[in-house]
Amino acid sequence: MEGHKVFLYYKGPFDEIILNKIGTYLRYKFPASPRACGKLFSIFIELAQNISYYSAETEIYDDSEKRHGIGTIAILDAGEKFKLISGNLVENDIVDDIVSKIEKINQLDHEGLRQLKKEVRSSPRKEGHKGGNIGLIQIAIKSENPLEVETKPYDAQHSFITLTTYINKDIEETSETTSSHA
Amino acid sequence: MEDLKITGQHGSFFTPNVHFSASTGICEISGESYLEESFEFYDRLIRWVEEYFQQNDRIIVNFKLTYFNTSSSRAILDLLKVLKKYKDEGKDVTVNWYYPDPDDDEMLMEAEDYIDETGLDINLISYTIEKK
Repeated sequence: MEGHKVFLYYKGPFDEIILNKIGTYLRYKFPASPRACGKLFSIFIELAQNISYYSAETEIYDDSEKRHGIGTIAILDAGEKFKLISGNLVENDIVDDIVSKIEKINQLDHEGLRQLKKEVRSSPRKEGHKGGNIGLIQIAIKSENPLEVETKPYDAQHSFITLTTYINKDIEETSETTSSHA
Repeated sequence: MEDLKITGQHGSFFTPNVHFSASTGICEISGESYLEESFEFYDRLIRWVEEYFQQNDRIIVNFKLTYFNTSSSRAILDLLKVLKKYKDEGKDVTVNWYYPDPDDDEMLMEAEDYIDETGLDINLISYTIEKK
């Protein structure tokens, strides 16, 4: 990660207060890049809710006995892009499912992703699912960059899954010249 | 029948403003929708609409959302499907979808996807917001 500046690193339970505080911080962090900030915010929320709902490592964190998933999110300034990395433990039996979902997502262009999102969203609600089940698709639509996934065995039942995605920074709106990104 | 009024909050979660008026049939959802129990929230709106149509034939629903998370997006789809069902039954249903300019959160695209998914006519109306 040479030349990449970490501006956010969090490890722990992803409860609603953390989601709110970090989300709000990201939303207004770069006033010159409102579009990228909006994307940072919405992608962070989806990644964080994934961890909160689906991490195999959980902790009862407050009096309400609600379980919050534990995981890590790091956000880096990578020059022309922001880089978001999320990591958490998952049950081994769903690893292949997540990886193949991401491989499918990465094969699609913007219109293909919108189509897939509509198909999945229109399918019946899943019992016990709080989410729309379209978080990863929405991340891909918002990020406009491929998702990277890496899994490492952790113990007999679990693997550590790492998702990486990028967001292009706003191109100077005032400048008439086309940006010369290499 | 009572109006349904929910004041939006920016607490741990972001609750949208809701004002569904039984007397005028004008219903508005505005602000940001980032909820944990999205289905619970929108099911309440759906129940209100169902009760409303027991005695009324005409509704105008104005969406003026600036952000929603994916779990809200699915719950909003359910609300739109219910509106489409009443329209198909012959009720007078108007849905207006206001999207901000600049549209950093791609609300127009979301509306286009909803039109595609539900087959419901949704009027797309842009409005200008002050840049922060």
